[in-house]
Amino acid sequence: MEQPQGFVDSSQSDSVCHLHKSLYGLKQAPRAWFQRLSQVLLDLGFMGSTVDTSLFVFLQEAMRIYVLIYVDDIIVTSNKPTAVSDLITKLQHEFSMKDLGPLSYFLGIQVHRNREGLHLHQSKYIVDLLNRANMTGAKPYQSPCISGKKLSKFDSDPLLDSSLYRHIVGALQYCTLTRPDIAFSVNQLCQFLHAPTTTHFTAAKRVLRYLKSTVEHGIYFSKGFLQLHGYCDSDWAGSPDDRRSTTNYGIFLGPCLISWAAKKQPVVARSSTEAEYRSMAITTAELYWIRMLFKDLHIPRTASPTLWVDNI
Amino acid sequence: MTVEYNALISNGTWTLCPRPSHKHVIRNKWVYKLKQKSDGTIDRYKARLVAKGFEQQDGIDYTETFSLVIKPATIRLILALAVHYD
Repeated sequence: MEQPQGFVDSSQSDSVCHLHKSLYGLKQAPRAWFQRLSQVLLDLGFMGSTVDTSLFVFLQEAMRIYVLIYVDDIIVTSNKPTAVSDLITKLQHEFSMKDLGPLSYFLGIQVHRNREGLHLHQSKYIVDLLNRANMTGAKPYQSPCISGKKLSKFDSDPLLDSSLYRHIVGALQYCTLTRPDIAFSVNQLCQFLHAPTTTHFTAAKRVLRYLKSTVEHGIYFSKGFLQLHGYCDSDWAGSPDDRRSTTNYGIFLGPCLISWAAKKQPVVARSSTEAEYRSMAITTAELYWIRMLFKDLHIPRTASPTLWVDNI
Repeated sequence: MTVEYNALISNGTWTLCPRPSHKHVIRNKWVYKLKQKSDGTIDRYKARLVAKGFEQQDGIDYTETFSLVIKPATIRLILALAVHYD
């Protein structure tokens, strides 16, 4: 690297800097940071998960600590409360960091805790989004889209300025983090980011109006039996433009919904049975991945997951 | 700015060496930021040295990068388990 401006060594002005450490802006900077942080955790006796790189697990007799990392945001959870504070003290030796106490805000998700469970929602984010889209005064709606009406590429006139549409839909995608109810509508909207029309824009505003009436909604985790259930379904040739089908699934751990998706299938299914089988395959893959995560977390094996499907 | 420079030096971020003849030397710049207190008075003039990473070429200047992403399902699973074992 060139010598920094204002600090050129006058005796060796033609010399350059040989970097030993990473610097802001370098291509390797995120990798270097992750290596540094994960090395500290590995030295403390943690094991990195094989199925999700952001997860680290510590096991000692009956004690378990799970650590989730997102760049420099860290969630620590353990079955022994003192272990959490011990770990934080150890990490504070290595890095200057702040303990923000019990989880309340992470990646834009607000977390509320009561005696029985945990409620996750993104009302702050949704209110901000409504402000940015100038939709705070809009009339609320009771549903996110019109049932039975499919969006098509050739619906109506193209939008003159598509940047607002892209902005809104991009932000809505982030809302699906705690909102399975809009997953399908957002999936539909996302298929027209390249050439949105006025109809698509109306549909996007409809989702915002629905969000307005349900700002506080989110997902709720409560205690229950640790058993995995998957539910999946698909339509058949739902897209009027290319006749591909759409898969939807939701996976529950006991009473808690932990994973869901709405996804257009990559190939054209020639029968509704074929479409259903494809959706089962996708859901099974996700269930299998969660099972592997369970193994990494050293959760004792429970009964095999159940997959529920109709019309086969 | 001298504070930031001294921090970089004391961390051993780089050592000076003669200019290599056949390598591209990455340029850098100082990025300044004014920190204000809540009443608008000046708290601190911050400076940060950033490397112009966009001048690096894959395979020549570096071979591996990594960017951490988190799967939302993992967060939800961990939180659900936390509730269960609470």
